[in-house]
Amino acid sequence: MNAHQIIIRPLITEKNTNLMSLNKYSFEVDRAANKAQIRHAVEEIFKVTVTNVHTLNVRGKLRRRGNRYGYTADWKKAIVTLAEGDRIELFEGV
Amino acid sequence: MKVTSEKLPKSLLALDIELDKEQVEKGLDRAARRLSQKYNIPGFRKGKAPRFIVENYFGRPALIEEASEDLVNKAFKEALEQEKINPVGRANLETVKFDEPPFSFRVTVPVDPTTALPDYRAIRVPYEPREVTDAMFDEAMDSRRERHVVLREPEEARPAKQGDQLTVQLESFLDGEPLETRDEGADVPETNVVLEPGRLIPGLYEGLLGIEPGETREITAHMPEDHENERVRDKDVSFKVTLKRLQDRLLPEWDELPTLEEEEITLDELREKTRNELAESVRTNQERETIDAYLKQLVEQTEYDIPDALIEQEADDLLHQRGHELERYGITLDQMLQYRGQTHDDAVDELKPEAEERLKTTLALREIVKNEELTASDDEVDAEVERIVGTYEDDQRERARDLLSHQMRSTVASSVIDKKLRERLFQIATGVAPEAPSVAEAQPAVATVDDATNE
Repeated sequence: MNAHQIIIRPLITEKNTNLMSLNKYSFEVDRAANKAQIRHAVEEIFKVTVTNVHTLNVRGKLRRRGNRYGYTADWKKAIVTLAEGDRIELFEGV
Repeated sequence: MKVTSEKLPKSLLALDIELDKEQVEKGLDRAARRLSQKYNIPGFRKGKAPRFIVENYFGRPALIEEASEDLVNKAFKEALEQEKINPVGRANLETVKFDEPPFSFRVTVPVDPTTALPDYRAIRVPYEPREVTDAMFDEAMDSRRERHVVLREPEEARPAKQGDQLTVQLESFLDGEPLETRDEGADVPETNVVLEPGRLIPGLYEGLLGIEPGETREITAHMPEDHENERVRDKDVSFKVTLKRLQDRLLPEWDELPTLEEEEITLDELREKTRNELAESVRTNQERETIDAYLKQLVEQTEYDIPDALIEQEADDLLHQRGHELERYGITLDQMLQYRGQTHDDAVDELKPEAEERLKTTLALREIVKNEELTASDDEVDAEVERIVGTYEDDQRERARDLLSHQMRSTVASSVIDKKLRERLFQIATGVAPEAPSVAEAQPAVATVDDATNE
């Protein structure tokens, strides 16, 4: 699995922007990826040093369409802590 | 913030305002907050998205656009304060350059117009003091007597003679066509005429002599060349006159006149009084004519630099003033405009020439007041207040005095200055004005202030 397959997209939400002040960045990652793989992928893509990786599985939400019920896809979230001084420009934009 | 100003014609001032970086950033911050409150950004509640997110989401140009109005307004206000500019009308935003630093914009503001007076002290109006002639005096006395005329029916019907009051139905025709139009079938209206040679059209007087009550006469008279109605000037007009009623006019005897006027004076004193009043009215009339003529020349010779905005404002004021006058007759301005089929803007446009004229006079006069150092001292204002209070009823005097010497003091003061100004203008126009203060500038300024108070 290459780095871009592991890191699916950055998560930009109110909660996550607040975490950015603690140098923590959140991503949606491949469900099969482990913390070590995520660490390497982030380091490779953004050219930063990762000090810590937290992961969690997010259950898909119950959705209804007509009288049929189904679930949205489960996914894995990763919260990556960077070494002091490192930043990921993607979030900051420009 | 850097402000450079540049004078343009018509009393416009162009301001080039360059904003500091912090100012712009602050403005952008405010704009971002506004945008995030207005629009939904996925992942954020309304108003919670930080500036950089907003900037990414909408793009910098959008942010600048949102910020510019606010920034321009603020900066413009500050610039006015910084440069001590007092605008007299609405500013106009010419160009905005906000796409790249330094951010700058250009506005034009109308400022107080400059007025370049000509050598106003050199303007003369031909002035020939008019005397009260005997004819004028006699006329005034006659009209005094005329006011107390008593009408009486003659004891028996008789033909008209000079001095009678006639009530007639009078129709006039020019080349067989009636001159006045009236509704079909309506009665010919009755008019009162006095059978005196000087008070009727020549021809008509002679024609009416000897007419009997109920009689109808056709009289042709030649109209004088200076008749009010242009159509009939120097033409023959025929009249169809029916005498409805004849009355004697009993004029009071001359010695009865003072009593009738409710004055306890002799006839000679009344004559004297009439003569004085006449002289006074001749004098004030002439003074007014002279000043008007002077002002006309003054305005023609003065160079102005009036911003259009000011003229428009004046025209607007004028229109509203008219509106207030109309309200006294129970019509609103809107009704009036509707009646004339005009929009508000049309009406303002129409008044512009008049407004410009008025503005020009005001400006020139303001300048003269300044040049002539005309002021109203406290004593003078007090004196004027007392004079006005004197015209009120006794029980209202206290209130009037209070009002005039406080809330309306400035109005009274300007009326004092106005009076002085008229006097001075008249002196200048007739070439008897005292030395201009600018000539006597060598004196210390304190002395001129004293002079003003001692006047």
